[in-house]
Amino acid sequence: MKKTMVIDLDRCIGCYSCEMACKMENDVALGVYYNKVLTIGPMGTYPDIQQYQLPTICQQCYNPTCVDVCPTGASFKAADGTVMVDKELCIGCKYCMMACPYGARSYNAEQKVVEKCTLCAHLTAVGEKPACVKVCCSKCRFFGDIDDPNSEVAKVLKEAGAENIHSLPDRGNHPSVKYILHRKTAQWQDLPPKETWRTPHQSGKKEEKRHG
Amino acid sequence: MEQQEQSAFGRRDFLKTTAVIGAFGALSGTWSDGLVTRAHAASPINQERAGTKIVKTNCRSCTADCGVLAHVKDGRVIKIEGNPEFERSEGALCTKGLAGIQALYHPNRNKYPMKRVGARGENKWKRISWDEALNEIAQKLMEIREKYGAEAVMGSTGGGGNPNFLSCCRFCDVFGSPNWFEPGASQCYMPRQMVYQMTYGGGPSGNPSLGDSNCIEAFFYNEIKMKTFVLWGTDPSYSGPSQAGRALVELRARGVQTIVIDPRFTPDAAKADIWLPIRPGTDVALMMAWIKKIIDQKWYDHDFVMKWTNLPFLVNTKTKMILRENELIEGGRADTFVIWDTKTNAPAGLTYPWDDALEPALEGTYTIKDVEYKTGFTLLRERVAPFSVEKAAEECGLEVVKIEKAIQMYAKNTPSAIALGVATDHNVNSAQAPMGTATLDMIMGNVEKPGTILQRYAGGAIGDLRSTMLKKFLPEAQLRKRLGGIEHKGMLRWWVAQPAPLLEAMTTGKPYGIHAWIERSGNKLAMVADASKWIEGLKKLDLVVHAFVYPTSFSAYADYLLPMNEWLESDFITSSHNRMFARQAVTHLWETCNETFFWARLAKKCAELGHEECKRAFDPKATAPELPYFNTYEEQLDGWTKYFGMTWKEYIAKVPFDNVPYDQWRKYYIYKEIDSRTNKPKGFGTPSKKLEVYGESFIVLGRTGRPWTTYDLPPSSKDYDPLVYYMEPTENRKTEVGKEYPLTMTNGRLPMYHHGTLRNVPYIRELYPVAEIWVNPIAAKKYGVAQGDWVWVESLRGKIRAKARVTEGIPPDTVYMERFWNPETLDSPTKGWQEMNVNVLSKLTAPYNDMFGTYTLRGYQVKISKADGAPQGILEKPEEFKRWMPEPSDAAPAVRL
Amino acid sequence: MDSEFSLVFFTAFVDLGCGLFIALAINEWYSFSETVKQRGAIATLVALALGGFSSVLHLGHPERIFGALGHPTSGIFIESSMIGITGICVIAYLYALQRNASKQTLKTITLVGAITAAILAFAVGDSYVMGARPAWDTLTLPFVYLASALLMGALAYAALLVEPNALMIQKMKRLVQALVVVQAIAIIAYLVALSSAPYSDASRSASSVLFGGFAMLFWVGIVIIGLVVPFGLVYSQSKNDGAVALSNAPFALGLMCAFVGAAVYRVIMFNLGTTVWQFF
Repeated sequence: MKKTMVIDLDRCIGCYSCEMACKMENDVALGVYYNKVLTIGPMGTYPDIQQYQLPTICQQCYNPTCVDVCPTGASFKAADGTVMVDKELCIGCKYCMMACPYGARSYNAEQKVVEKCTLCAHLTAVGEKPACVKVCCSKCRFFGDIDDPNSEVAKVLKEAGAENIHSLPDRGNHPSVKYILHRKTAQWQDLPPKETWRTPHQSGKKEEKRHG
Repeated sequence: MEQQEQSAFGRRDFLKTTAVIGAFGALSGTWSDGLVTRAHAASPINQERAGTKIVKTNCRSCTADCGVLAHVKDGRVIKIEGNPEFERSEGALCTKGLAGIQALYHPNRNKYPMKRVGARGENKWKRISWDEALNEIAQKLMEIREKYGAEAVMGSTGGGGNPNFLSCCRFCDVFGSPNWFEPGASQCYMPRQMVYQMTYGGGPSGNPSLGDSNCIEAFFYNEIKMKTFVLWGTDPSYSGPSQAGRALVELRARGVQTIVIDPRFTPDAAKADIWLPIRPGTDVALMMAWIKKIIDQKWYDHDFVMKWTNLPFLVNTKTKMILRENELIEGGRADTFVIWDTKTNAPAGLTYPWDDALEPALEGTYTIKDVEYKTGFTLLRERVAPFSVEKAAEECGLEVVKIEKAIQMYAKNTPSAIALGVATDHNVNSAQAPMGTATLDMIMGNVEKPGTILQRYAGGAIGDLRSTMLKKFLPEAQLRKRLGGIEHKGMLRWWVAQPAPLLEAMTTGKPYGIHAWIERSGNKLAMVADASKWIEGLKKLDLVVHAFVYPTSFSAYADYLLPMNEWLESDFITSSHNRMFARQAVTHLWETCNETFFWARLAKKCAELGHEECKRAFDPKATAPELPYFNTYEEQLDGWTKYFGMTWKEYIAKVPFDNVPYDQWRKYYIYKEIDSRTNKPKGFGTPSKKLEVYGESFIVLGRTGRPWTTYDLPPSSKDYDPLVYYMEPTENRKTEVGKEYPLTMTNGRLPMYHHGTLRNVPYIRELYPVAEIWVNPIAAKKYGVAQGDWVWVESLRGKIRAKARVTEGIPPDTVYMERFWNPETLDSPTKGWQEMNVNVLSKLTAPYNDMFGTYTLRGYQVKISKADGAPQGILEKPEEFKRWMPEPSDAAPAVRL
Repeated sequence: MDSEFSLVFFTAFVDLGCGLFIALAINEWYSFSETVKQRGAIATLVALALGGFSSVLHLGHPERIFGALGHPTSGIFIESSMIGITGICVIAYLYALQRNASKQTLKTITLVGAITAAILAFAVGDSYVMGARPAWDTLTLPFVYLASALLMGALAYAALLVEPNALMIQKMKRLVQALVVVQAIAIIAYLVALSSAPYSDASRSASSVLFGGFAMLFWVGIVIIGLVVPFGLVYSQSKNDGAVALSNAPFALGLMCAFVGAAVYRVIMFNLGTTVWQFF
């Protein structure tokens, strides 16, 4: 069993509702994100350009390196396959943050522990969908067990076709979150192109060191 | 008034209050920690949920009224979600709606009526009671009325989360002032609404404005017949993600092809089949090229044009009026129009709807009794003749090939439809643009077919149930005094005055002085063109009242601040298509008041001071068929629901329910239905019952004010043109101004803001902290601007700063900004409206649109240069918005007014 | 990522302590100096303690550290247990010295301690070798750490020698110079690895170290202060061959420089350590 998320980028319209709903639901501090919507592009040269929106969340890896490095077991893989943080065990060493290839984890300065997207475990535990899925204006987010061929996520993927399914670069961690993007909408980018909008620097955080 | 009990959420005792704070604090501990499946799987959350009440209500962070489930615990709103029952939004909610809680519990809300005690702008206030406030304001209004006439009192409102658009107009009608305005109206929606209403006659919602909850057909995506959808100057993904934006996603997913005409590369543009990044302000030139191409190629629906438009009718080329049968022959009918019969080679009255005995000419020039006549179609063809695709490409900064491809897609892959957005309402072509798109959809026969957006679903106009205008209370003599009203009679549609002459009157006293301004909306200074000019006028007024939810830049120039309800505190009738819903007060804080009721109370005070019309406005017989003002809030609520034969309480218990049975509501081809009275097809809602592509009624409007008045007004200085025509923006690249100011400014919506609202909501500002200016890399290089630089943006009117977003998503000679103001600098000399407010740059001066008096908010010239840094005192980093995080407060009883 | 200063000092001090204890072990086995033993052992303890203290500063909830006991495979467990074992060895060494234990005992204790110290010096660097951050995903990185430990250890040892004779100074001079070269080679190897790391990005390129935003730190902090100056300092001691300055002050100065160099390397390492993607 592997509970995860599939996000259809052909549908996503970059409205940021998921990002905001996530913050409201999980009481995420200003400047901290579990789920941030990036704009990839526009790539190319005006007027022949393309662009898509990329909602970013914990990629719920099959082989979560963040769990491997956790000294206390605060980061763990739950029975349903989701990668979770038990904040009461976390010593705040940030080692898991270093081990995540995507920077999907954040430090909660108030609680002095590491946190991240939980796939709204408190909601799914009572049979609801994650807040971002419920609120999504374009209905581009799907939550469920990717190992179950009858689940919605599995069906959505099947319908999309293998050539239109993408994941972020795999550094041995094997991300389980899948993105659907048809070439007609835009060319999938394995790495963030320089036109990526709302990087940490752009949202008022410390400047990312990109000297190119 | 009687105290209005906020039934479920009355005041709690002190102990409860602290308990509530505790509970809120606990939220951060238990809801966010992700321990649920392990450590705390059992209790705390479930207990919290058990104690939570869910109230069904509707959002009003914009005008779309999405369905909301408000989670309430101990009188405190702790969570809001979308209501899946609300068909238009289907459970989705946008960032603006989600901002509801942070807006509601904002620490800087207007909590009590406040009276200025220092000098204007000094920001010194004293708390007074509602009674004192209303008494003093009414007293001053009556004095001004006595001394200068009622027209010296000006009202205004605006679209930013406004619960009831017409309540300001109603008060002005009753008080006797013709002078109310809003920065929208001529600049937002009214031109599109009126033009379609007069040419199609599909009622208030029979128009192509996606952002105003129209184009309902787009929501039936599961059975959609539409093939091509043109998004002209509209970006639903940003302006209405949870409704129109959502529908567009579904349409695209089902293979509907889209063409986006927008200088900005919006998400909808990115997903379009064809993107035409047009030069701002030149849309009508492109429309005319489309029309020409479609006529030249004979791609139009010939049969439909012949039978269901007025284009075959003969038009007197001198008077511009259509020839009637009674003018042709003795005993002819005044409502029968004359065509040229090719069979007899003579003019003949065409009996409605069609006469098979005749063979009318669609085109031609004919002489009847020495007078020259042409068919409407010929006049249209002549009008668009200069607009070849090549000419449009040059004028609009587009590629010929892409224009051709777009026209072909629209004309060949049918049924097709054009949604026209607010973009064209923002320049002097505001009337011509909807005339252009109406012409296109009408000659293509994209009307009342399945898959087209011009439809007349029954039982619309729910808005009429609520507080409406009271046009008949405004004396004709007063209407004649409406500033800009005689010249721009399109404004009669919303019964509204023109901003520029209002400012002129405020500032110079010409043609008469304006002495009081009651403003009920957010930040006018961020919304009106050429904001700096308004300060001079504001300072001359004897009385300035600002009724809003929190202080804005405008408040700094006011004498009284009146606290209004947030949407989570307010009640209203709402609907999703045909289904009725209710916005309900989920809680109530401080001494905030319902907006509609505040106006009623002000009228009451004036009545008590001897204003006869204000007194009469409380008499249902006098206001019928409109609702009167009510004495108590409960009566007002019950008054709204009387139409359904219910009290408000019964109504909110019954919603959602269908207003009209579904099968009666959703019907196509209404024009073909047989009218039982005439035994003829119903036709369209125009005088000729045909689609009036040739807009003769615009001429009548200009000469008399009809159909929006019941009496004739003096004519405007020039007849309004019955056919689409193009006016290049006067301030453009090719002119002298363009040499110094080489870039053309455009605007456009963002998904997290509605008009001037929400700049003080922490999670919203975090998403978009400062005004961006989009600059193409070519321009950026030319003017020495790099990604993320602070940039000076200057026009002939003024100078502001914005942060550069260097992007290929904007043409090299165009820049884009959205309206912005800075609540954080309210108490500084700038009052928060001078730093990054694009409307410091926009153009208030003539030329205006002839019909609507529209000024120029987009499509004027600017220049950019690198600035040293950010404006002083502005906030940008996410953590800095902490000061605006909610300060939860307990529910308070409703105010006694 | 940010320059995590608590971790910079944690690894630099731990490496210093490790290097010093390795030097003490060699001293024990080859019986160079008696007087340096005790002060050396105490200095080792101080360095490890400073390192340990820095690491605690880094933690949000140090009081929960015992939770780590249940997860013996984590880097932090290995590091802490190695610090523990090394520390015990140092204390045992001190105790044995106090009790005038046999030479064999002292040799055994220092041998065990030196092995754990070497592992620890390597391990604090090895903890950062991870796929998530391409600039760290190379074994050359822990070798730089190990080399810095050896260099600092040698310098510290020489600085602590009581009235060293000319021969001793001569030996230490050669050793330090050799270790500077080793350190330089390790750093060059790291830069080579960096330039061939996958998912190349300007934020973590070798050229940004050599010529870009990190060049100042690199050339001044690592090359000049961390390598050239220590090398030069010890070289200056043998100007007139016959009359070697019998001061160990240049070693102390060299140690400070080498420490700065080690710290700067760690700062640059953290800043180069960008992830493949950075969502937030």
